[in-house]
Amino acid sequence: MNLFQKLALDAGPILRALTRSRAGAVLIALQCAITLAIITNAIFIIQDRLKKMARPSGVDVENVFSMSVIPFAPNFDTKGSIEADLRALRALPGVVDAAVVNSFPLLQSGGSSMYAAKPGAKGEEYVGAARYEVDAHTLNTLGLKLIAGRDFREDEIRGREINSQYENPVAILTKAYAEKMFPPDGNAVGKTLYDGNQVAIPIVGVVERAQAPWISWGELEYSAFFSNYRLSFARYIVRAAPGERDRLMPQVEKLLSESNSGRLIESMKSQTDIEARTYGEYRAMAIILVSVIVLIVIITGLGIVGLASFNVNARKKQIGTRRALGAQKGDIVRYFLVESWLITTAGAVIGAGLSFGLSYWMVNTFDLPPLDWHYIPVGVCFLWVLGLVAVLVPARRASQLAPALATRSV
Amino acid sequence: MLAHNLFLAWKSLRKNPVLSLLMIGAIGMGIGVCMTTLTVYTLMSNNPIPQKSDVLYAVQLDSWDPNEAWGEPNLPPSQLNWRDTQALLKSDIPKRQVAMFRSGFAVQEPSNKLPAFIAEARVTTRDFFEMFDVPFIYGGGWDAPADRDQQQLVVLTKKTNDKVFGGTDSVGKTLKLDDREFRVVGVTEDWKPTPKFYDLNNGSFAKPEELYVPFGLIEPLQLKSFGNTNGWKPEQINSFQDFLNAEEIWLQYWAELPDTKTREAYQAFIDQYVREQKKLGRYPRPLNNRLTNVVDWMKVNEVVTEDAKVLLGLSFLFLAVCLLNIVGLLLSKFLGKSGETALRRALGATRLQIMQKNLVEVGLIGLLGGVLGLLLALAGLQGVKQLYRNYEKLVQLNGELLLVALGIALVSSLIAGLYPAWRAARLAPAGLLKTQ
Repeated sequence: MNLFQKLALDAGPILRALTRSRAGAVLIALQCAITLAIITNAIFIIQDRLKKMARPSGVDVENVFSMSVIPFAPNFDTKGSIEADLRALRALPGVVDAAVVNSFPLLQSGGSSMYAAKPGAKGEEYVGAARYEVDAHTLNTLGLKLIAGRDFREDEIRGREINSQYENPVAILTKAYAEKMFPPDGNAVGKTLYDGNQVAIPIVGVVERAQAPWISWGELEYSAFFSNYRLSFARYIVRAAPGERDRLMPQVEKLLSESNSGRLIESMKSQTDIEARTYGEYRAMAIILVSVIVLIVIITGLGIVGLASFNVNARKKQIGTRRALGAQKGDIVRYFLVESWLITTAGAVIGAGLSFGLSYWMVNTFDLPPLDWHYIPVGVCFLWVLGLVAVLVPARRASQLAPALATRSV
Repeated sequence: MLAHNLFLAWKSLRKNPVLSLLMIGAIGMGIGVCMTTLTVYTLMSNNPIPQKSDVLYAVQLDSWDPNEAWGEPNLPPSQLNWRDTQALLKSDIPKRQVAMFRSGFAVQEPSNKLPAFIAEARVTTRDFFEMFDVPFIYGGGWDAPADRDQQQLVVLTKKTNDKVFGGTDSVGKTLKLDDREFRVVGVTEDWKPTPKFYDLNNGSFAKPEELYVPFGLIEPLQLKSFGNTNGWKPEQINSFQDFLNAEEIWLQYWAELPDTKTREAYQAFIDQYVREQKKLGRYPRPLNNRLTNVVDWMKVNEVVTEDAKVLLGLSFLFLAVCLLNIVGLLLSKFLGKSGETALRRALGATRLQIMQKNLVEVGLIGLLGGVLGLLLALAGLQGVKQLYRNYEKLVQLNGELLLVALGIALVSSLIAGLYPAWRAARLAPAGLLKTQ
C-alpha cells in the first residue's frame, strides 16, 4: 500500500470520528476560515502599499536635502538674497549643486495647472501637470535624467513674484507628460505648451521621470518644469556628494542663518526624511498588518494545538487499542495529521469565500482594489502548513502512548 | 455562592495553568488589538465641540468649474474666494460668523533676545473666539473695526505668550510680526480641538495656530495663505488686488445659526447672493450652496482615514478568531473535567448550578483577559504613536474606553463560554461515573 492509499483509507474513520464530536472541529475550521480571510486581504493591502512605496520619484533621494526660505523684513531684496545664498551654497566643498524651487517630488505640497498642446484649446484638451517653478540648476540638483533636448540656460531664468505672470518661460516635461501631450512618441522638444491664459511656453527638454509632489495624485508622473522661480514660498534644494549630506546639513543651516537676518531658514530636511514622512502612513499600515498576521497565526496555531491535545487525551484508549492491534507510531501521527488537514481544508473552502466577501466589502466601502485571486491558493497552502505544524507535537505525543493503556481504565 | 464559585474558578484556572494562560492570552490579544484600533477610531471621529456642533455650519458656495464638480458626488468647494467672503460678512442673519485662513509670521520679541522664529497664524474675523468657545487667560479678542481696517493687533496662544513674554500678562505689550509692531490684546488658554474641524485643509489633526491676527490686515499687509489655494479658471493675476478679485478659493467660512428659522433664512440669503452673481456672469454651475454642521462636515471631509476603518474591521474579525479559539479551549476544558462535573451532579448539584459555576470561571478568564488586553492596548497605542506623526492626541486611553474594554472582554467571553458551559452541564452523570 502506498502512502496515498493509506491516507485515503485513513480519511473514512477520521471523518466518521469528526462527525461524532464535531463542535471542536467546526470551531477550528471557522477559525481557519476567518484567519484565511484576514491574511489574504492583509497581505494584499501590504503588497499594494509596498508597491506604491517602491515607485521611483526620479530624485537622488540619498544625497538631496532642502529647506524653506521665508523673507520677512519689509522692502527685503528677496531676489538678491536668493542669488547670494545659492552662490554661497554652491561654493561649499561637498556640495554638488544647489537650486531654488517651489516644490519637488514627495513634498506633498505644491501647485498644479492645466496645459494644452495647441493654442485656443477647449476644456477637455487641457491636461493637468504638477507645476515646478525652478532655476537652471534644478535638474542637476535633483539628479533628474534628461533624455531629450537640453537643460534650462541661465539667461532663461527669471525670479517671479507670487501674483504675477510668467516672464518668457520655457519648459521641460517629464516623459510621461510629454507622451500624454504629444502622442504617440512624446517628441515634445521644439514644440509649445499653452497655459490657461494662452501664454505660449516653448519646450526645450524632456526628463525621464519626476513625480508630482503628492503621492496619492492620480497622474503621479505628470510634471512640468518652468524657467521662472518664485520669490515667495521658495525652497532651496542642495545635492551633496555621496556621504557628505549629514555633515553639510548643520553647516548649511549655520551659514545661512548667520549670513542674512532678513529671512528665516525653516524645516531643513533630508529627502530621505521627507520620503519616510510622506510614506509614513503606508509604512505604518504595512507594519500594523504584519503584526496582525503574526498574532492571528499564533492564536490559530495555538487553537489547533489545544484541540489536538484535547483529542489525544480523550482518545487515549482508542490510540492504545490501535497500537495494541499493530498500528505503528507513524500510523498514529498520520491519523492526527490527516485529521488536521481535513479540518483546515474545510476551513480553507469557507475561508476562500470569506476572503472574497471581505474584499467585496472593502472595495465597496473604501477606495481599495479588489483582491487578486492568486492570494487565495497561497493562503490556503500556508494554512495547511500551519495546521500540520501545529498538530505535530500533540500527534507525536499520542504516538508515544503505550499500547498497554488500552487495557487500563482511565 | 459567588465567592465560592470564584474560589472554585480560581482553583480550576491554577490546576491547568497552560490552558488558562492560553485562554487569557487569546482574550487579551483580541481585546488589545480591538481596543487599539477602536481608540484611534473613536478619537478620530470625536466631536471636537459637542456643546455647539449642531449650530455651527461650514458655508460652501459652488463657484467651481462648469465642466467638473469640485468633488464627487457634486460637492461644492470647501473654501471660498475673497470677494464672496466680503459679501457674506455683510449679512446680519448669523448670530456669529467667521472668515479666516492659515498664514504665518516671523515673530521677534521686543528686546530681540530670542532669535526670530516662524509662528503659524490664523487670520480671522473677531467672532472666531466666541463662536468656537476659545478660552482666554488674559484680555480677549479685538473689536469689530479691526476686521475691516488696518489695526495691528494680535491674540497670542499660551504657548507663544510663554515663549515671548515668559507667561506674564502681556496685554498692551507689543511684539514684531514680519518686522511690524503688533499690540497684544489677548492670550488664549491651551486650546486644541481634535480633530481641527474648522480648517481640515491642512491636516485634520494638525497643531493649533500659535497666534491670531485680524482679518482687516489682509489687504494693507498683503497677507498670503500658507494653506491651500485652488483655482479652476485661467485668470490674469498681476497683483495682490487681482488675486483678491480672482475666483481662487483660499478662505474658510463658518456661521453660527442657532435655530432652523435662522438656518433657512441664511440658506435663502446665500442662494439669493449666488443668483445675483449669476446675473453678473459668475457662478456657472447650478445652484449648490451648502450649510453643513460640524459632525457632517467631518464626515464629508473623511476625517476618519480609510486605514483606520479597515483596521477596525479587521481587528473585530481578529477578536472573532480569538473567541472561537476560546470556545474550543473551554469546550476541551469543561468536557475534560466531566468526571468532576458528574460527581457534583450525583451529589445533588443542579444543571443550573453547574452552568453558573462554569460561567463564573469563564467570567474570571474574561476579566483577566480584559486586564491583559488593556495592557496590550496601551502597548499598541504606543506603537501607533511611534508609527504615525501627528497622532499624539489620538492615542490616549480615557476612562470611558477603559470601561468599554473591560465590558467587551467580559461580555464576549461570557458569550464564548455559554455553549461550552451548557454542554458540560448537560452531560448525564451516570455514564461518566461508571468508568471511574
